[in-house]
Amino acid sequence: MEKEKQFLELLNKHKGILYKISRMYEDNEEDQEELRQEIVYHLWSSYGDFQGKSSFSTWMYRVALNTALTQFKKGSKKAKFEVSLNEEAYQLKQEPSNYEEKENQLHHFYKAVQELNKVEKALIFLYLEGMSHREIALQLGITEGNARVKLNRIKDKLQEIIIRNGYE
Amino acid sequence: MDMNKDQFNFEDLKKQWKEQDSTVPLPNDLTNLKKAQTPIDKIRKNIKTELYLMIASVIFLIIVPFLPVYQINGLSELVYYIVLFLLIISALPYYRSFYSYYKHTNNTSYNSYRSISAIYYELKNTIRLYKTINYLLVPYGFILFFIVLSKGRSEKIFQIIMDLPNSFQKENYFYFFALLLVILFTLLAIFLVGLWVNQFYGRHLKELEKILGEFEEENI
Repeated sequence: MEKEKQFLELLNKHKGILYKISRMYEDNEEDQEELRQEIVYHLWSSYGDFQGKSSFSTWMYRVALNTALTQFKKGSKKAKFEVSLNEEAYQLKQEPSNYEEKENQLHHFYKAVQELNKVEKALIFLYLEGMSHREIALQLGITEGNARVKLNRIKDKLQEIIIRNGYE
Repeated sequence: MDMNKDQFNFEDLKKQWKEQDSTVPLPNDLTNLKKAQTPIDKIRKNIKTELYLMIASVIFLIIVPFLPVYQINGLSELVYYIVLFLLIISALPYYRSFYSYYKHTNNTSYNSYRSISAIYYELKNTIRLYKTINYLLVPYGFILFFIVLSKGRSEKIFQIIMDLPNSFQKENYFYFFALLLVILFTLLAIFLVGLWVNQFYGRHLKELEKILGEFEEENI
């Protein structure tokens, strides 16, 4: 019970990772929730292997991204979390219906990122989280040079998509 | 917001990225946490279910010749038990090797490329094993069911096979036709198993292959 409590506290502290990854990898709320559920399952089931050699967030990035990368579309509805938060308020936040949100770069980014492939999404996510090329390379298991080249291309690709989609 | 008209500013985005509201529903406890099944989990579950079914079937098949209603006697009984024995000893090593990596280690905490490669090869091996088990069991299963359902007539067919040169002359075409039908159905079943496995699990393998390709070095 103590372990579970500790895990849930850490999860709550780093819930931003869950939110951002699920929003980047899935474009609708149902799939986002399914992905978050899958990530939490993998985090909890491998929590025993987490030895604290790296920070919890570094470990969580790895497990969460690996889950997102290997998540296959199932097309079936999954059981929902018993939520402690206000679902309604959360869903309202998800809908970019107001003017401010439409003007927001983040909104354009989340929309554009859906056109990237899974590995490109992982790279841009780690970059936005503030990781260096070396750290990104270590997380993904690629060379530092490959990470740098890919990242530059992804940024160009995103610029093109965003401009094509009418960002001003 | 400071940005040029046609330029998407990644530095600005980074700031917003950090400041965004990341409120997300979390589970209250982990006891009800359900795992969506991965393709490997599904195929393993199938193999496990089939193993239990096979154990139950083998027990039933051992006692079938003792039931007078099926009229399995003489040569039929001998063939029946030989095939049943072959079925058991050929399937055992496969189920054993399946269980040896059934308790696989959780590899989601490797770096991404290593993790996906591990899943890819694990899925590939599981599919291969699954196909092999089915290819093995289908022909044996057909022979056994043929003997059971023929209600004594299978003995005549086995006698014909044992005495092939003479039996041709006696024009037992009906029995040859029945035998040919069994062989054809067996081949069809094997083909369908392969098709079914490829349809349900092969696409996941292709998807993983595609993701692995996305990790490849970019040419500068």
